[in-house]
Amino acid sequence: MATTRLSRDSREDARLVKGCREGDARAYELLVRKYQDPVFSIAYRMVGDREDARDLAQETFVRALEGIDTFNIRMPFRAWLFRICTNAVIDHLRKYGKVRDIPVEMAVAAGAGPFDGGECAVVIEMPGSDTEIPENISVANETAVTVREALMDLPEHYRAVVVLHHMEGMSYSEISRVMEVPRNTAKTWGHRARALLCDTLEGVV
Amino acid sequence: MSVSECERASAAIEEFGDGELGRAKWLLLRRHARRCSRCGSYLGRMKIVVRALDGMNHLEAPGDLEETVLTCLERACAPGAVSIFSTEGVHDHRNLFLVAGAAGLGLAAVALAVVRWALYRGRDESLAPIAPA
Ligand SMILES: [Zn+2]
Repeated sequence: MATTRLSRDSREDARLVKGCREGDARAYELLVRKYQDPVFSIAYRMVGDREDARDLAQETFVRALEGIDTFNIRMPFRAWLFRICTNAVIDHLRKYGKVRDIPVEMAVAAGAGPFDGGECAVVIEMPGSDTEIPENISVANETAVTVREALMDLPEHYRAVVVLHHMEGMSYSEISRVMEVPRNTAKTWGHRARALLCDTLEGVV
Repeated sequence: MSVSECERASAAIEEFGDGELGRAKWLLLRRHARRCSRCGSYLGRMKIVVRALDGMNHLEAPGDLEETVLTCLERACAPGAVSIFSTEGVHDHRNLFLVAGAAGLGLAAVALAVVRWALYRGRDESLAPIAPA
């Protein structure tokens, strides 16, 4: 696996990892404190259950900190930790039968893009320039709930890419490192996931 | 509306979803979407999806998560302790049961073979043709 130039944040993580390896309890504490919210959030966005997410976050940290000696210190700790988290979540979903494979028909439908869509016209504005009048905000809230519910029905790999990209702001290169797949695969999963989410809004908006 | 124009628009909508659409491409897409209802509809839905996904914030982890993790680690790191996620012990027991089960089955098979041999031996002797005098 290729190594990357580490950011200041990653260098700080590397320092903490070194501390953990030397048995510094304070370093463990700081790493857990720093990453507990994102790890819990990833788990929650993927399983949709607070208690399960809590257990999975706990499992992630224990697995990571027990295996800290196997971590390649030249890689970003965040990506490594998130990999452990997504693997734990996917294992959990498999174990409890909530996993969804990627059916061919879904991939085909996703690839079809807009050409299978409805005919309703919408007002198009530049991204981020929407008017925030109250009725628009309430409609936006309702549709946001619809979208997030539909997210839970996506195959788990699609869901992971979407969560890492939109919630964690990770690039597809970073996601490919987390999910151990080529960058283009991660990107394709992201596109298909969003196309499927768009499909769920047909007839709703 | 030409298919290639709609295909270009579709690719631009995907880039928009990725947050990577430049201003020039955005203007072209917007112009197309105003004239093409299908692409306009798709772009409208994509905007809603992106807004909903970008609005997913970090949740606050449960207050006792940090403490629980550190307690687990302390327990796992204690001298002679077995990690809470280790399955070695489970596998050892499982192997022991498998060996005992296989040995039991083997013994039963041998006993059955001996009984069958003894029974058939007796029957064969009683049914043996009487040799002419
Ligand atoms: Zn079009």
